[in-house]
Amino acid sequence: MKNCKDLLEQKFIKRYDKMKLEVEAGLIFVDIELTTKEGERMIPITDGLYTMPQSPGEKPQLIGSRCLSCGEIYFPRKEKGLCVHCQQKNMEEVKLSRHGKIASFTVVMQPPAGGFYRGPVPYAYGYVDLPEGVRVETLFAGDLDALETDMDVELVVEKLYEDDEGNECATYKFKPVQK
Amino acid sequence: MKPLNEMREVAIAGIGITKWGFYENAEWYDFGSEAILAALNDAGMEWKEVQAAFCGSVYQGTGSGHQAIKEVGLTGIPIINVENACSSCASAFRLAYQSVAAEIYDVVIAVGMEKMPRGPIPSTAFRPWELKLGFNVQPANYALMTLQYMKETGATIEDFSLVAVKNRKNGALNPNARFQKPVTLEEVMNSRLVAAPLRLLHCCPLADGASAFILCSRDKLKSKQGAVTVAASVLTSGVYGEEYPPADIVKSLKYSPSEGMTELSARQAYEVAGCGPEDIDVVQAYDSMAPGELWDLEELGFCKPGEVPKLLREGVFDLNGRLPVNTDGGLMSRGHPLGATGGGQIYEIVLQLRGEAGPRQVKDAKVGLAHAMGAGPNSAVTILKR
Ligand SMILES: [Zn+2]
Repeated sequence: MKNCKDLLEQKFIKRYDKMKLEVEAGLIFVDIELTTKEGERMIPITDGLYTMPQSPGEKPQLIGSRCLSCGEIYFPRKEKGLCVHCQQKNMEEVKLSRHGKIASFTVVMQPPAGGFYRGPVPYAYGYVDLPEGVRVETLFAGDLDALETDMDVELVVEKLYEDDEGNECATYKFKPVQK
Repeated sequence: MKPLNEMREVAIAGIGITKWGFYENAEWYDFGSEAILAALNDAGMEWKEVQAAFCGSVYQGTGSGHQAIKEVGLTGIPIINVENACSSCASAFRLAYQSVAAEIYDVVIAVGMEKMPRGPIPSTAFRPWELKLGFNVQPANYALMTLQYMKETGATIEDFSLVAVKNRKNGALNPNARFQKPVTLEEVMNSRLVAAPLRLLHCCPLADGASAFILCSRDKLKSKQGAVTVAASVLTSGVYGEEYPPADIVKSLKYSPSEGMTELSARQAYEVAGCGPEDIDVVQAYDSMAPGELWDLEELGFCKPGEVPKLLREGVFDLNGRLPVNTDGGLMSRGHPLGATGGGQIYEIVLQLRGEAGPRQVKDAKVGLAHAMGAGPNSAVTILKR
């Protein structure tokens, strides 16, 4: 197993370094597409929600915006750079805390209408409050029966579903912290 | 900006409604035009007297109001289609009211109609990535609010199950409701789990249906006897910092608004109407999900936060209680044709104020309030008087 894992990590770094060069050279636009296994790609369900690890040991973080005028924090980031609270255009991009507490949650027992959601069912989603003062709507990972309000959770990035081209579509989720 | 209470008085000359249910062999223009004709008949008016039409719907698409009015008569009048999620008909009603109040027209019609989509529908109330993450489950979004309400007030699952029991009991007296069978507390609490803590019988059913209203200046009324007038028709569309999960809006942890969207729309409506919550005799609250009625009544100012469960158990909101709520069975019984729902609520208030509500008549109702809200977010408060 260990050998296999090392091999995987070497490939991971190699592919990423290659891609980083291409990004720097302006050859490719998307910098968050990563190779995890041969022939399988892990791609986020949408760009700009979270950072991808720069190295195997690093952890992902949500990307938000902070208003330098009123202090309000937003997730996802405000693409227009405009604060909806004070209407000033004085925002900086911030990486958000990886830990928070569950403010509310629910477990959905049937697939949502429309067929846009392709992940497992039942699934759980709700709100996590981060210490810097921002509430995040999120899916939950781990044992759904164990979820409780005020529980400590941490950010993970996980595969949500495999698309028709065989890509692993990934998303941020929060998962109860192992005690 | 001219104060609304200084504008011309607007009366409701006629009302029309269809039975709410699933129409397999009819389209929205079929039952939409049926409601229009019923409203004209009720007003004792002809289509050629109508000077403008405001038509609310959500899923019908381009020119949906025109499709219905094509069945009635094309007289060169402006037809305005209004999409404002679950407040579409209440918003169309408000535009109709304003155009008469501002003396632009003397006789107008407001219509709400909806044939709910049968297959998958892309919801523009959510961003594409939110849809991919499955955040578009409305019972789940209400569950997120419910859990927090329960924590803040100590309300229980039984408390909001009793809302469903009350409303389904009233619905049994409404021949236009989709569900006309009462349910027991046990049936509600043992129904299938949809999104914890909400179960199937805490959720309103979908339905197709339509309603229509002829609004006019007092001098255009064919009969002035017992005419119902519009005391207020207010719409607010979200305040910064307030949580509204049905539109994927999370609350600000740094800046909470001094007044929520519903409180703001209610306060504005009471100001225009020149009355307060204590003057209201009958209410159509927003019960798309049973627990929603609990905090809705509190936010509309009928009691303090957390008091509704106790008053509900005391029977205050029953048909024969001090403040009957959702006398026609509410969304729980009537069903929820999105763009038509606000009209169903207003229709019931008019019936109650006219004394035409039959077995579910509230004794001596003089002032009634209807509250339609929904994704967007929107909060539409209509106060009618006799
Ligand atoms: Zn700001």
